[in-house]
Amino acid sequence: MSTIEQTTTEVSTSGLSRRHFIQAAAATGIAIPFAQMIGGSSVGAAGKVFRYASQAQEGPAAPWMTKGGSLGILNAVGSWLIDVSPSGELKPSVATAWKGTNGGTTWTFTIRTDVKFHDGSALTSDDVVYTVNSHLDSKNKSQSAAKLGGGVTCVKVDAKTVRFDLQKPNANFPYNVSSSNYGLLIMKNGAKGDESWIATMNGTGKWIMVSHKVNEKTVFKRNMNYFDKAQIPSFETMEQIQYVSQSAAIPALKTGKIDSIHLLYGTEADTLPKAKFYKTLVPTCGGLHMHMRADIGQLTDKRVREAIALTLDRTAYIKGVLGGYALLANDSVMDSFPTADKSVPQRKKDIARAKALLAEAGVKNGFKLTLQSWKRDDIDKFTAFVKSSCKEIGIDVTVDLDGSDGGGARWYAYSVYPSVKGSKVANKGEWLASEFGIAEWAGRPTPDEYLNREWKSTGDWNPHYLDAPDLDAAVDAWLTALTPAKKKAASSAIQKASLKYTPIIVVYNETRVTVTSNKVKGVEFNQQGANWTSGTNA
Amino acid sequence: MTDETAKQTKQTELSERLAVLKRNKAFIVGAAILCFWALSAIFGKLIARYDQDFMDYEYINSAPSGKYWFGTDSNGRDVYSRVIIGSRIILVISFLATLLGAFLGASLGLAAGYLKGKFDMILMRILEAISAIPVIIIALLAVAAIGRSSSIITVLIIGFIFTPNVARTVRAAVLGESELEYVAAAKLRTEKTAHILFREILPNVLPTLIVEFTVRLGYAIFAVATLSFLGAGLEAGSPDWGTQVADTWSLIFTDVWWPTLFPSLAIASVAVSINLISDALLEVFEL
Repeated sequence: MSTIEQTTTEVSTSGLSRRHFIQAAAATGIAIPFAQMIGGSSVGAAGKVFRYASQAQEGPAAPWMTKGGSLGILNAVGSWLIDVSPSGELKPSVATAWKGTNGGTTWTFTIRTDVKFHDGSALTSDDVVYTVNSHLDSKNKSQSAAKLGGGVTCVKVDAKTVRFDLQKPNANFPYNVSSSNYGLLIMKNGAKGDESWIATMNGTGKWIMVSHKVNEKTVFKRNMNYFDKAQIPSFETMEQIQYVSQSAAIPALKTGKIDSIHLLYGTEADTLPKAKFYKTLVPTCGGLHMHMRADIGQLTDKRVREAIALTLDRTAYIKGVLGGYALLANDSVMDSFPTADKSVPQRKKDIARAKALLAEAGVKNGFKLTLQSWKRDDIDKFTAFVKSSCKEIGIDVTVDLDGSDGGGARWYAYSVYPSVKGSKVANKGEWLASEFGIAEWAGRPTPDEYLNREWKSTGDWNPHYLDAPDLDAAVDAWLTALTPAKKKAASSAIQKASLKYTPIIVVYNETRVTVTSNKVKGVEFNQQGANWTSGTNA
Repeated sequence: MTDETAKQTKQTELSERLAVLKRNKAFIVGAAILCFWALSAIFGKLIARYDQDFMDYEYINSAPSGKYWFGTDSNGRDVYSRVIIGSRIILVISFLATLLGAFLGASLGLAAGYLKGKFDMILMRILEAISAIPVIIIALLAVAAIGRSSSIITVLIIGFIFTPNVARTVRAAVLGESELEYVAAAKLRTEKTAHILFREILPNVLPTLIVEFTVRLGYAIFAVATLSFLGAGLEAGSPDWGTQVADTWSLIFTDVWWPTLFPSLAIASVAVSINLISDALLEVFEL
């Protein structure tokens, strides 16, 4: 049995110059957190309330039902085997150490013995095994199961050790059980992760839920029994207030009713006085993914899909509308990662070529097309960009954005789930059954989830229904590659196949902007938008 | 007095009232503003300086200037062009919705006022119940029930909502008219009910209906704008005024006020113009 001593893991972190490989991060965790060694805590600095504005919920904040907007709540009350820091590094949490063996097909995690649920009971390896298996049980329809990868089993080794066995090697597996897989917070043995979980939110996180009103406000009190004493919040209470639009929270920030807004538009953040507020930026590999159905409708011809992609002036959009708070993407999710093949030519706006492609496809004069998604500031702006751009080649785009329930309830209804390879399911005006639509993806520390779930023909979140064996093979090669060279080769193949078929248009990778009052210092959010630290009073 | 003489007297009276109307300052101002927006609605694409969807990436949230008279929004789109082009959407939808409400309301009001009795009583109670619910609540409920919103749905919803008010106004006028001699004469001639309602009574309550129409048109402008503002109206990103206000209002807090102000002013100006016309008609026709 060989132990992976030096597995290469790549992480999307803060900007190209700061991106790096974290050597061996996936192989061996640090046994004891540094803060615990030095002891002490920052408790007691403030004794007040920290309030922040977050995006609207797209669904219940329940482990099996995770949807965008709910992760902030889950992140507050939950703990994972491993945490992912805002810069993308793996940090020990419920697991103090982890080790990959058998060429990356077996992963063993050592569990802390001092973790307590909010109801006072102790966390054991049984809870960990139960949590994982509850997600893997298909009848629970967990949205987190697919993030674990196919063919995964989890067993208890002893009271403080659990083991995962994988069908295929995966050097990035620790990320799959980390806080980036935010539904996989450790639940108590026997607990249900469905909507009923919301009543108690019995997790092990540093915040305990006091009250929760969907799409309005969730109030938490700090957990003085949290196992990592150094991370116990200095604020006694935290309130997460949900706004349909982050911009709408600006008056509340200006008048001191809230302390922080996460995911504000950079251009809007720039208008706030620097003497009163500070910005924190987290470049991510997340952003808006615009899919085009390859199995039904008007976009089945790859030349038409490519033509649409060629109408977009990405650089101008990023510089102008986004105020530079984004990184250029090139219709694949690989651009943010260090193994991206930079020699693959970037797609640029080319109206003449786009028109020629339409002519070749037999739709020289364009056509009418409906672009669907849900109402959110960035999606509103992006759809205007697409509409304006497509007009240049005669494609008349009608924008249909779901504003129901304040958070895209119709758009993420999942009446079609999971995606079925090659499906010809009719357009139902929701994410996985729309001809031309946009989903927002938060940042991930590795591209594995995007590739496995969204890009691959067998993915459960495949909205484009493209069936391209060469793209699938490239994705498989990426997922199983254990060396940087192999990762890079696979990345190159994915990038090229993505440009060849254009199932999804990715224009930019967002830089998440948080604006916080100077009265509170040290506030940080991670790539996915969860509050990493609530800071202290200045 | 013969029928011919009565007709001539009515025509003279109408000419005199129209002459008075032409001299009414409120009417002149209201009509001028409405004409401007009507021309914008018809020739919007010619008057606008840019395409409604054109984005100038170098001028994001740019303040009013010589290049962009009303400034640009957060997508770099010309606010002036969008306000001009957007006038067609709101005017057409409001007009059609009011027309629908006036047609349905006038038909019901004529029938109720003429037939009276149980039909009148039951119909009026139903219409009163409908008009007791706030307009926007009904509209939002309807959009939620249908599950979608579009121009046609907006027209149908607002038309339906306006029906009770028009019906009540017309009914009140018909109650008085139905006792007059010309109605009795028509009955003696054994004219059909539809003939009496639409050929005899309707022309005589037309001034009332016209005034009611203008009042409702003013409300329709607000209703369409409000529905769009609430996201239950038209296509997202449309240059419709209500949608523009909805898309840009939060920018006010970042000192970018122009993308919200100008469409708001446009809504206000149309509503005021229609009210001025309506007031003038009330005055001139002594209703």
